[in-house]
Amino acid sequence: MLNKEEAQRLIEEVLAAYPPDAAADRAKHLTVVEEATGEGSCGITANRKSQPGVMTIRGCAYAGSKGVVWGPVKDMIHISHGPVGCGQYSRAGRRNYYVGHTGVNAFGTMNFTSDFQEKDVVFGGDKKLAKLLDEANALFPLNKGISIQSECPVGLIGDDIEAVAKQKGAEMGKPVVPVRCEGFRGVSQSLGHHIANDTIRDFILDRQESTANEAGPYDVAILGDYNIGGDAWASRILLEEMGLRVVAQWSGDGTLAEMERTPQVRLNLLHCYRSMNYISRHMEAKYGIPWMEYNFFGPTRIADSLRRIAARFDSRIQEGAEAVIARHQPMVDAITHHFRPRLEGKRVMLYVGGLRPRHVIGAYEDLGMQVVGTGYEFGHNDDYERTNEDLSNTTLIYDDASGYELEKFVERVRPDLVGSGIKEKYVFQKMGIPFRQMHSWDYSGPYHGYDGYAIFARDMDMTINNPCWKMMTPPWR
Amino acid sequence: MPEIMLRRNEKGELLCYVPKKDLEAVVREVEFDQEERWGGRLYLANGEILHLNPLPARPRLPLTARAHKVTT
Ligand code: SF4
Repeated sequence: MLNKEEAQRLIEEVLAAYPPDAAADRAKHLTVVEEATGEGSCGITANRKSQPGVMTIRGCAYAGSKGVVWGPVKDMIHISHGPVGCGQYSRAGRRNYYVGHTGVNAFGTMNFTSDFQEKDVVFGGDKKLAKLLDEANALFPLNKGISIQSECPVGLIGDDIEAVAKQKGAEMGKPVVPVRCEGFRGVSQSLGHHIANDTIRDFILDRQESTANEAGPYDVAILGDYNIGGDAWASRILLEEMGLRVVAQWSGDGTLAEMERTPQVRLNLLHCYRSMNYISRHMEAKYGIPWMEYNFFGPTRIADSLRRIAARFDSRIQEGAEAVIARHQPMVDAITHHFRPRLEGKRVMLYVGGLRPRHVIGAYEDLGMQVVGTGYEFGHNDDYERTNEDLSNTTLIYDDASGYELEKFVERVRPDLVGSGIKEKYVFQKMGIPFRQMHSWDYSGPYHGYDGYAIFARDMDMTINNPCWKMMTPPWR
Repeated sequence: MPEIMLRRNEKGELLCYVPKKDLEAVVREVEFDQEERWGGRLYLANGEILHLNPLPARPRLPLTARAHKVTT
């Protein structure tokens, strides 16, 4: 177990490798939160430009918009406007599950791109875009709309995609959404989320064509759940079981119609605060829909969240929530009983994005594990503030950690498990440390909800207690 | 003059959100907290003070407004 002094010394040691300026800058991104006081991470500097010359794990604004927010809207075509690589290398990598016939009425895993060539950069790509929109619409007539996700060159050469979108949208009678999410904007994918939220507001919610369904008293929307490995489904069934009506999923397995219908719900339930707080705030200001954050990782947090959600409704829903919790308790007990002895006391370090650096802590604790280090790739100050309440032991906090820092931290802390992305996976496995890829659940999932907890527990056990770790000699032995 | 958004959190506390700065802090105290006059200095939990031109009535939340920072 790390204590505060040790952790502080570790940070200093890591910083010593940098030139003075870089060290001074990075020092603001690293901190230790002490047990009980829960203070410390508020003062952290976040959402700043990464140090030049160091390896960062961040993505770009295009990744935030196309990959995260817009991409999973399954009945719309999302065009990666620009060179082919940005879309092709990220295609289907996030495992946002959906139901539908790909290429007929759902397009989630497909890659549409304008495949920019030199001549498009020199002479402009607007004509090509117009042609592409027509072609895509003719080939896939069941699409409900098209979004144009700009890649870097589009912004650099100053194409007027808004004009093309407006004209084609009028011709097709469908929303054609120009998204100015060029990769160079902002410091990370985070700005891409914001830009995507703003375009949904301007081009979908304000389009005012929503066919006002009969709004029910128990209508809610799930925001910021991307259905990775089926996460949103595992969450949705719990809400429905307790008597709520989930009319929209943003945006995992979501549709255009669901988004259009959201302004009529009673309550917006926000899972990933980082990527969808903007639209939640907008809907609160404009339509008066309250929103609340919840956490569906691990039974403790799930029960707590279900009760907090239910408290916003009448006694029918509150009884429903208790019934849901009671019904799942035997299953939860069985899982905890089976896996906790195998995982008790294991220490975990996380370095992920969005909501996970704080949200999954509860699930680990339900299994008797401790999170000793956590950090956000692209968190903002409000994320770090929210993190404090989830921390229960002395924890190392790192914002936008570089490859070097993370390696050093892990080498010295020697956790029993590291949870981060695919780029980190093999580095740590080669160091002899069990690793879970916590962006897309390492090809597993769902991890949300009670069903997700069963899979989460099994996966962690499978990884940590895998016999292979005994067969290799890590470099420090 | 940064834009701020005021809302209540689950506990019923007044929250001030400054989008430009990603700052979300509980408002500890509002200078004028009356039915016919609301606003003035907002004392945030993080120690910052913002000034909001007093409104003629207690506002309906959420409220988007302009406020400026008071340097003490
Ligand atoms: S930074 Fe630009 S070129 Fe790179 S993936 Fe993002 S949009 Fe594409």
